[in-house]
Amino acid sequence: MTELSEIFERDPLSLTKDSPEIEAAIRAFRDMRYKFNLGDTRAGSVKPKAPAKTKEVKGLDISDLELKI
Amino acid sequence: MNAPIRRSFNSNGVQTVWDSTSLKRADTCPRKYQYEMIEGWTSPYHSVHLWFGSIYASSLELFHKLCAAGEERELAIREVIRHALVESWNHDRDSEGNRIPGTGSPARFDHATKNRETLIRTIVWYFDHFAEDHYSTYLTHEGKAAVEFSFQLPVDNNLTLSGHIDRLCVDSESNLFVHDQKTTGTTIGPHYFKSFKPDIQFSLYTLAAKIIYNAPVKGVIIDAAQIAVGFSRFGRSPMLHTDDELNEFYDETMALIEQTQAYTRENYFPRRTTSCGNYGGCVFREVCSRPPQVRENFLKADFVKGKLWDPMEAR
Repeated sequence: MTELSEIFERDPLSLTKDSPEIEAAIRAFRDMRYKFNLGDTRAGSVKPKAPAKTKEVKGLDISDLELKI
Repeated sequence: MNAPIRRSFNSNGVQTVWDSTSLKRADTCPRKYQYEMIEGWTSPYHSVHLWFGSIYASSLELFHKLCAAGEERELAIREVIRHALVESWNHDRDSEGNRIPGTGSPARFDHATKNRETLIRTIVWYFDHFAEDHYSTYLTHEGKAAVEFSFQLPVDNNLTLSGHIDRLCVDSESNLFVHDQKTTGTTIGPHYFKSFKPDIQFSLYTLAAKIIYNAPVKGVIIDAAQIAVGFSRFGRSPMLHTDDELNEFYDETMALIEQTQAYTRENYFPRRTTSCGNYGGCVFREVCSRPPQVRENFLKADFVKGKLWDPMEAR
């Protein structure tokens, strides 16, 4: 399926009302509306989602615990 | 070089054809009317709200036009989405102003919530939100669909009132309404709709539709769309106008025009300082806050002379 961002980058004069791209765009926005109606208030956002920040887990060494044995 | 002819102004430069835009300027502040309507000063920056709103309105208007012509609903929606995509693309133009395929790029709105993607989203969501529409397009006595018409209504004192009505619709009880669209960034509720009454544009449209169609038009149905980053939300409200209210509007409008014409003849446009802070502040506030002898310099520094407003120009 054509990505929404790809459709928006395409010269619209190359499209007709029967183009699958137009249909795909409508479908994508309808899917967003469906999610919005289920309670996702960000569902209609077309901004690319930033990757979730993950904290790098450092390998643990027994000496890090500074145990006095 | 001769100044371009404005058909809405007489040979003395006095406006004789009035639309809601020029009436609102005159009503807000005579000086603002002078700067914008008489002299044509405008901001060099494109108004994203105007751009977004005009493509949105023309898209919904096209939808009603296609449906009235018998187009199947889903095909009409596709046609409208293509229209909005084209209108929001900056093509190069040929000598006749036609778009040249394969040129240009998507229009940049440079706005957090009003951009090309939220425009298309809002149009698609609007059609789904109002899929079960209780209002249908009014058919005139001649069987013509009352969509997309510009009017010029001759009134007293050799004046003409003009405007553009997107659609006239009718409910199940045969009540007639002018149908209009608004977009906003604010939450839509009773407070939002209250700002449209009294309102020059909607009083004028109701009055004009009533006279032109010779039908008992009750007022205006406003479909409002709140545009946010993650969603578009809709609301609809009627703004009813009685005959007495319309008579009052007409008398006030005639008085406003008479007064503004007198200002024009005398070339004296007083500032209405109570309007300076409205709607986030007038764009000419900086100019008006300077001494009279330097105002022209500030106008030239912050504004450009754009296309002169002419209500007689067909949309």
